[in-house]
Amino acid sequence: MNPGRTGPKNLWGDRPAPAPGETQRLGIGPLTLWIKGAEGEVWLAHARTAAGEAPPSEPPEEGDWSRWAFHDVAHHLRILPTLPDRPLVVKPEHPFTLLRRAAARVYMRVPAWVRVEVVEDQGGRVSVLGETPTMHLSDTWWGDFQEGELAFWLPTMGRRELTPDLFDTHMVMSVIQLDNLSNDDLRVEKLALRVEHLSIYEKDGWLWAEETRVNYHGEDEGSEIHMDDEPPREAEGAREITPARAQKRSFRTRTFARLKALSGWGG
Amino acid sequence: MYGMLATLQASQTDGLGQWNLARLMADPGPLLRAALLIFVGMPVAWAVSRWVRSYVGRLYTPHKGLIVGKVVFWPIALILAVSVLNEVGFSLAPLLGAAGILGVALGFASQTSVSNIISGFFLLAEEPFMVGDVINVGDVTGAVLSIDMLSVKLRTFDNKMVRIPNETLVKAQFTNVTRFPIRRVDVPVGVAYKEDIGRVRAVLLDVAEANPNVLMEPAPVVMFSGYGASSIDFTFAVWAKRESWLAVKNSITEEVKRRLDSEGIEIPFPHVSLYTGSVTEPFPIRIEGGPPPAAEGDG
Repeated sequence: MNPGRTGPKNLWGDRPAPAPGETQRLGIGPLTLWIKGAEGEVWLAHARTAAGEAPPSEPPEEGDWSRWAFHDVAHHLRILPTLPDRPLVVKPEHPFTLLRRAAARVYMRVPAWVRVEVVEDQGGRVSVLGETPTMHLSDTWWGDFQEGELAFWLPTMGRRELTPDLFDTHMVMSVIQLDNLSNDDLRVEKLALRVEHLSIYEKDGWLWAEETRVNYHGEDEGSEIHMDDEPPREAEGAREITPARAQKRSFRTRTFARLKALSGWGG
Repeated sequence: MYGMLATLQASQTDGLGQWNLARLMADPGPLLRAALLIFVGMPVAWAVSRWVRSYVGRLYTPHKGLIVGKVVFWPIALILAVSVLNEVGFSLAPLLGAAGILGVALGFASQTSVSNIISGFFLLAEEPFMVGDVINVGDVTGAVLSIDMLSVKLRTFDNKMVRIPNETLVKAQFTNVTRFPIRRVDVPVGVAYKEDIGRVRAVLLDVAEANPNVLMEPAPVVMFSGYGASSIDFTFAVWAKRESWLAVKNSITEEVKRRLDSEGIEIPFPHVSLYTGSVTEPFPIRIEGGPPPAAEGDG
């Protein structure tokens, strides 16, 4: 899939650390990141811009910075995109019913987080300074009233068709292949994407995550999830730039919402 | 008790009792066996109870492991003690006789304690709460510090320790506030009758969406509660993680007030309107005694 344009170059990866007194500014979608150098220290600050607003040009006040002091050795910085550390709950653009024995492919844009690392020139020891979401995601609950897990609510809708306007600097294109292997129709109103098991790949400046294949076996048996170790076919040839947070594996879990579980009032 | 004293005195006379120091010195076999039971048996009993405690603690909860460990240790220790006494020739028969009478007396005296112990086992088996949970018992609310043989200890939020007998908990109704991972925060909201209900609902839902600790699902709900004496009443319900419940409760209440004020939506004081039967007619007043009121147009 060619979006028809190339993404930003030289945004991700290694870069020289700012000299003492020097401040670097990075714009990644709605997130503006400032990195300031000091003797034996690195300072970080960030700001997020609402849609339609111009990004700030000046760094924030002194009190809004985070400081890290480290061993005074030659080092450089590494800026990497990462995926959120919790599952994402997504609503397809329009809820649909996947007939039994049918399959569907859904594309989701996941707002990346930005990880800043300090890498020693000698030995390559890495210290993670922090991770900042490019977009604020609301908390949500994936489960029922008695058990479940905390997740992020993804405001971007899942799409059935991949179009060029979906690509953005701070968005990771994630592909879900749904296969209904049960004897029942599957109503897909929302689903949970286990992004903590996904790596990030880069091709032509755009970010991709590997394909997640969900095999639905029925409400009682749950879903079987497989995650590939390579970029999706739409991004063939992409290179991995950030490994997954958690070890990739196949597992059974609850992916589709129990439609009646969270009625929201007295349920 | 008389039987026990008689047994002890017999050692001095050599012939009446079984416990005879001289005989033990002549034939140290029983003494050695007794020493073996103490110095080998007790450490083994301790090691077995520790292993059981660790195993059960991993399988279930540390507290259950502790209880089961004690249940394993003390019977073994008692058997060892009886065996040691038996080896050295100490007769327990008189003691058992006295113990039988003592047992009856103790039984009457310890009814409550035994009831608490048995209630403790039921609490452990049923697991209505665990250490760390917050429970309401009557007018006491606190975090469970420990579930012991006789009682449960709570730490209240103003840092007092409350001891509740296990029997009380088995008999009484109590609420486990932190049993489930999410909780609902209910905020009563009353607005003036002149306000647009749809607009109020939209504003409240927007407040929920803007609060970082409010969960998107279960979805926030604005429920129309009824026509109050001074206001239209709603119950605004949002969900939060149990750890964030207090933060949400405090913040959402303030944010609702702030937002309603900024939107110009009135939160009325309790008030009563008096009408004579018609909204437009002035309320008639008659003054008894005193100078007559000035007519309209007078200076």
